[in-house]
Amino acid sequence: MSFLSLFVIIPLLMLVCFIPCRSNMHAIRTVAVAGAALLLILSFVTTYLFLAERSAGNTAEMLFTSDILWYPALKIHYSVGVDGISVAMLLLSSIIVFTGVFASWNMNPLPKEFFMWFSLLSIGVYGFFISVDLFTMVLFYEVALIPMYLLIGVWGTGRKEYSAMKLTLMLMGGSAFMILGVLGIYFSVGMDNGQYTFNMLEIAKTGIPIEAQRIFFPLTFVGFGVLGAMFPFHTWSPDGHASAPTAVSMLHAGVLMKLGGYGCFRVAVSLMPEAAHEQSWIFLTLTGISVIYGAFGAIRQKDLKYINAYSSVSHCGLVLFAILMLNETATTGAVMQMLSHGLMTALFFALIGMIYGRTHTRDIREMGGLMRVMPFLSVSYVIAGLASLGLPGLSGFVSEMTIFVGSFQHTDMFHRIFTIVAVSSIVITAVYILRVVGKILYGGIQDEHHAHLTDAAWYERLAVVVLIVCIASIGLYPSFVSDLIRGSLTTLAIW
Amino acid sequence: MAAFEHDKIIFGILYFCAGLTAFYMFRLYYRIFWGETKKEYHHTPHEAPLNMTLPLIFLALLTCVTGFIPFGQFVSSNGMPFATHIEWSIASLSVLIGVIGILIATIMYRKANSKPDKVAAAVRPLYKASYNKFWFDEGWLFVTKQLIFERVSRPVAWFDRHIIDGFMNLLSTLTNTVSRRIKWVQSGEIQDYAWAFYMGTMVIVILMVLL
Repeated sequence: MSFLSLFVIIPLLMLVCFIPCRSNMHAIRTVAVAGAALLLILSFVTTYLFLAERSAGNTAEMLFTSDILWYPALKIHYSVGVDGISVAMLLLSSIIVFTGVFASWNMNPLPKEFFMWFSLLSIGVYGFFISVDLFTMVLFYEVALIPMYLLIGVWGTGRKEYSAMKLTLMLMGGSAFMILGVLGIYFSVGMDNGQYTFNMLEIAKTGIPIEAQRIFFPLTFVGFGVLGAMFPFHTWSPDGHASAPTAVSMLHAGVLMKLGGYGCFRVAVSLMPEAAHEQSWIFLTLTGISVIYGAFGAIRQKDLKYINAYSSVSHCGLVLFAILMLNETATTGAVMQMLSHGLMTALFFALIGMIYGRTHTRDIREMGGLMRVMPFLSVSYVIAGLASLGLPGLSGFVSEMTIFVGSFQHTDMFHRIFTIVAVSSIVITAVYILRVVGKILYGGIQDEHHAHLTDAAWYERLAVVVLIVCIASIGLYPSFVSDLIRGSLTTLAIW
Repeated sequence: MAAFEHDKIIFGILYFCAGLTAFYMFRLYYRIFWGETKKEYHHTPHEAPLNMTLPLIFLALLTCVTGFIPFGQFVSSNGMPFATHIEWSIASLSVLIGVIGILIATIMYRKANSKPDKVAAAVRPLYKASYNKFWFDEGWLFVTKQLIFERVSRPVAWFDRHIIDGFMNLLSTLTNTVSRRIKWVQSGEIQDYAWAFYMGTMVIVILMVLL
């Protein structure tokens, strides 16, 4: 049994340990922090062991694999393994789960139930990233999806019931496409020789007939693309993120949207590369539109969370855009963007939650001059904003640069025009980020009640500092990440 | 000198701008430091303390001597040091235009007089354009606010809220309406179910006989 399954077992244990806590806030917090810290340590250990294995010369595609036959009749296995990209995603998830726990320090009502659903959500997320079997992957995706409905619908703000229902139904719709695609892959792999399998590595070796690929690539890509906020299926994102509580927004925008990007890469593009090449123009158009559309939509918003949600649509669209470029540089950029945007948007939502908890408003017209009132939170907000618009020295620049260099390597007009269009989104991002920063942090204080607000508490500072350190270190030393994922991209056909 | 050899028009423009620089610098100098003190100051102006004047003196001294540094030894397009020499004809021309600029500024601004107003009146449109910074800022703000914000962002946000969201809401309304309309089929009456069962069986039998 591989130690990777600990990623799923620890949150399960957390879930169980929450039960005897009753309403003891101290006990609840202890279990949550202990579990999240364990997961963080585990992900660091995994990274270390992975890098050690790779430098020892182990070039197997997936490391630390383990396979248990689950349902023999349908050839469903519980199969786990990681490669560089999965390790990066596991790191991301652990950091965000850890900081999310601190961002929900004072969650009420029903904090125990909140953390229990949160643990269930993390089971789904971790299981998705370590899965090598397609069926298990989709299973964990559903496990990650269902808690969202309750987390947003019960603990959210604003139009929470509407947003929760819309988010869940749309993502369920996406998963319907996903399941169709996965089943299609399963049946077409075994069509010729009877070797039905859900295992991704075996499917990649055998290949899928091109006629089947042409049907199932769009289905799978759209299925995962709904989660990755591809236009026009992105509309669950603004309302969902805005209504969700802080830690849930952090986890959702930071990690769950990356499930979409990861799935698109692992399942849609890696297993069906010929169809990806043929049909990439359709999806490049859609993702290119979402990059620009999200950015322009963000300019008009007046609610901090909506601005950030549309920004997430734009950045996650960029991830899918880069994956569709089907070359090594762009895909490296896509994975780095997943990591960078995940951390950056988690930071943003954490800060917005903290600001909202103090000013009780998210409307940018009602806030001003907060830099003097809450300097720590304001400076962190500025740093998050700079990371979002791709300032060199922070992670956003590194990932966007890699994506655009990779995209521009295509010499034909179509790809180049779309690359230029996507690059222009950086300017639009700068517009809405800096406008908001200027409006709410600088200038005069709009509401005299805001003049007496407190700055961040220790647990909030911890969450924010951890995220900033991660963003800055990727920005200043990105080769750690690119070395991690480099070995996993050799199997990708270079177009 | 490079401009003089390469393209005379560019040289002419740069030459004129050198004169303008001398002119406006000395205009500023005379306006601020010369003339009568007729302005009411909130805070009586006084000499700056040493921590301000010493850096200024230092920078001024540097400005005087930096011109003599042979830059060609250190900085060149191909990394090799090249010797520069002064082309006296062009150097004296540029000193000349500088002096002319200073002279004009002195005549117009050293003492308060009406010459500046007369000049401004003589070239009213040019004066107005220069005063308004050639309306560059207004142009950029127009592009940003009226074009990008109003003509692009607002429709995009409207489209997202009403068309795309609207379509999703339509799907849900449709589902709800359809389910409300067909609710009556679940009547709970055994007779209705028996009737449906009987009719269904008849239809299947007829179809099997016919086909």
